[in-house]
Amino acid sequence: MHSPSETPSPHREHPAPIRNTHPPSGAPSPHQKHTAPLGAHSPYREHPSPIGSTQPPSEIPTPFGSTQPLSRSPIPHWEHPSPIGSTQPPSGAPSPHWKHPACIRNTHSPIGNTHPHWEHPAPIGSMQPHQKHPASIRSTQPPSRAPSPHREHPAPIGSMHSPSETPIPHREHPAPIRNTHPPSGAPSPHQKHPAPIESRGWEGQALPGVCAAPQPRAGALLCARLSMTPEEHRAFWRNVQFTVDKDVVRTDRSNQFFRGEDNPNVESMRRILLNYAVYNPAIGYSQGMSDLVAPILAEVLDESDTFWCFVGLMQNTIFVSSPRDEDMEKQLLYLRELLRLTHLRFYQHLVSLGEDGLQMLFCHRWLLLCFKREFPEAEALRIWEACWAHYQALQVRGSPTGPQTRAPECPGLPDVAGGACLGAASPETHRWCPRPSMYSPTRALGPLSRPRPGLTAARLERRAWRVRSGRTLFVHQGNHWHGGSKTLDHVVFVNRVRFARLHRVLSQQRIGRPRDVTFRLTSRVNSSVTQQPQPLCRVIFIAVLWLHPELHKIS
Amino acid sequence: MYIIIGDTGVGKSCLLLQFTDKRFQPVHDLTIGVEFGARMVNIDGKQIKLQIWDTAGQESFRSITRSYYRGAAGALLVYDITRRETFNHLTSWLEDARQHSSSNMVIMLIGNKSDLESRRDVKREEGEAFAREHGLIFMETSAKTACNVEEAFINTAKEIYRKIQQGLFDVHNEANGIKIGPQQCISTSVGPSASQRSSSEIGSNSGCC
Repeated sequence: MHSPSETPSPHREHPAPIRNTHPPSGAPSPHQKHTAPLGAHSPYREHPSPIGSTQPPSEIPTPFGSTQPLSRSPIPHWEHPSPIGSTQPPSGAPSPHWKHPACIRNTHSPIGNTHPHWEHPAPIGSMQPHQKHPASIRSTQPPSRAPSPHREHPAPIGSMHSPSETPIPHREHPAPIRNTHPPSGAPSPHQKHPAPIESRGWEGQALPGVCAAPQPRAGALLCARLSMTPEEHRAFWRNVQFTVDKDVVRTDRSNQFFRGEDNPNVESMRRILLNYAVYNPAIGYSQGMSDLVAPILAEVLDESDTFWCFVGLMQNTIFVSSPRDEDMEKQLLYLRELLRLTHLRFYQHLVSLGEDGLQMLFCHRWLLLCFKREFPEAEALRIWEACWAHYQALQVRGSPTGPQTRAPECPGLPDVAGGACLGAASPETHRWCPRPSMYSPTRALGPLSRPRPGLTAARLERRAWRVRSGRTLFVHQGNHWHGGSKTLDHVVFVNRVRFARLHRVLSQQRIGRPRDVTFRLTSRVNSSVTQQPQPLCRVIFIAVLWLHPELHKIS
Repeated sequence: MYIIIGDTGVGKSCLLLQFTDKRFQPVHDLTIGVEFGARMVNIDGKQIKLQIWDTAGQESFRSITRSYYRGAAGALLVYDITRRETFNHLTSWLEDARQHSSSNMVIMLIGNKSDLESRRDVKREEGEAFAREHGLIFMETSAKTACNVEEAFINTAKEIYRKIQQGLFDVHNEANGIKIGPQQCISTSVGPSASQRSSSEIGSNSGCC
């Protein structure tokens, strides 16, 4: 997993395996004081080490966390990077980084976050400095494994950062940095990185999380990303980053969580979206995604978890129709058909309005954002949760062998994606993820009964509040998260029972047409899940649930 | 009925908000799909209700946007004077509009954010030249200061009204985005009706630029 150079010493406090998987939990400690809930962490640390080693980001948290001096007086440190850089010609490349404590600023001061270019470089950059600071930093955290990986690719990493330092990206860094670092370690595998990354410039997305993805396709993804031409990087900036920058500050600003200037949470959201765009270039970024990721982030609070939740959510294309027109067309078609079955009069009214009426474009946003903007946040979240909980039930029913053995390659099955979304931080959820390989196998969050390290008192409090206030979900309630005795298995069991009962009832009624079956089924499940469904809510539920092709199989 | 089109982030929603509510909100939720606003104006003593569709600028919503061209009598094609690429994309927007709308649709070209003079990236003359070349009406506006916002909408309405009077618009065909209200114009319409209110609103902010 880790490069040989890596010394076993990493985190003293954490056992090796856990450390890897738990960077967030471990690292944040000192860190956390300075940072806003989300801002500081590099998103994707949970990724497996193989990549992790190449991926500075995964380690970032560690250095910070472990090095007391840095965390205590991060800014001063950074502010005077030049001396260090200058004294260290070999590390010369990083010199630019020194000036740009992007990462640190990111983590420590919200202001840093506002800088558009810092997102990725930041984490990486932060690592760099440490390495370059042999004496001071090392001494403070000799064991930190961080250095190892970085040393190998100082150059590449450095190059990535340089952009962040100079608002005018492409100019300076590439050449000089490389030159200074030619001999740098044994960048054998990594050496590839430097070139592309350098050329990428600030707009190019150096996405740590992406590289780290352990999936088989991660390699291809990485290659694709690294082989981006400058043109492509520019295109990425134009098509994705620019829009994301504009959109994150226009998303949920009324929510306290995202309010205010230079809010680090907004920066987190921005990083998640940018990383996702590289992670899944086919979808890239489409307006509306920020609306979907915002509530998750506000709920999960952890950038890394949120990213993976969001990945799960996006697999669930029923809620997030991909930008392709035909998907939305298809969903509207379903909805139209549903309306014809359920509200014939309204359907006829639409018909009487002519072609435009039946296009049902007024439902476009409902579907795209899963009603997020049509309801107050609490209700909207409840809808989301209920829908996902339902999916979970469906899924379980479909797999007699039990959740753990569920076939991972069912991209169309969104249930766990939904579960991951809401219960992302729970070990069970991770174990359940539709494609376990997406999550680091070593991402052990600890024994199931053990509270998650990152779960602070404040978070627990918040979740408890959600439970008390009735905002918690179905899935949450069955989760040990809140300290309750139920486990996710219990939830599954309940769902299975409920489903079996429903199925029995329905089959006794001998409903002939699958559509009707589905319809009744969904309406029942709907009401059973939500307990007090609002009238409009019910219609919507039915509509949404209907849209999922899995429903057709029930009958 | 109007439609506002243009790249994302050029200030379409702000223009609409300034026109309908007379306020500027620097931070507001981004537009998903299409949103809607309306305001009554008075043109030549006729009470006219402008129904305005504010569209999302991103490419992925183009198909939705296109559906709204059809019923529009006027379009505000907006670019951001501080971002040249939004100006460069005008051609594709214009093609889209021409292709999906009725041939008589009045299109007004708007260079927004004129308050950011120091960051200007597109000269006023360029906008004028583009408008001349394509037969558009041109204006520079600022949704922030409300400069020319009223004029932009009202001039477009006047132009539509003029075309109606010339008989270029078939006001009986609602597909043209024009609807004559019963007695007083009460719905999506640009058309003759009994005017009962003064036209004091018109041009109240004029002359600021």
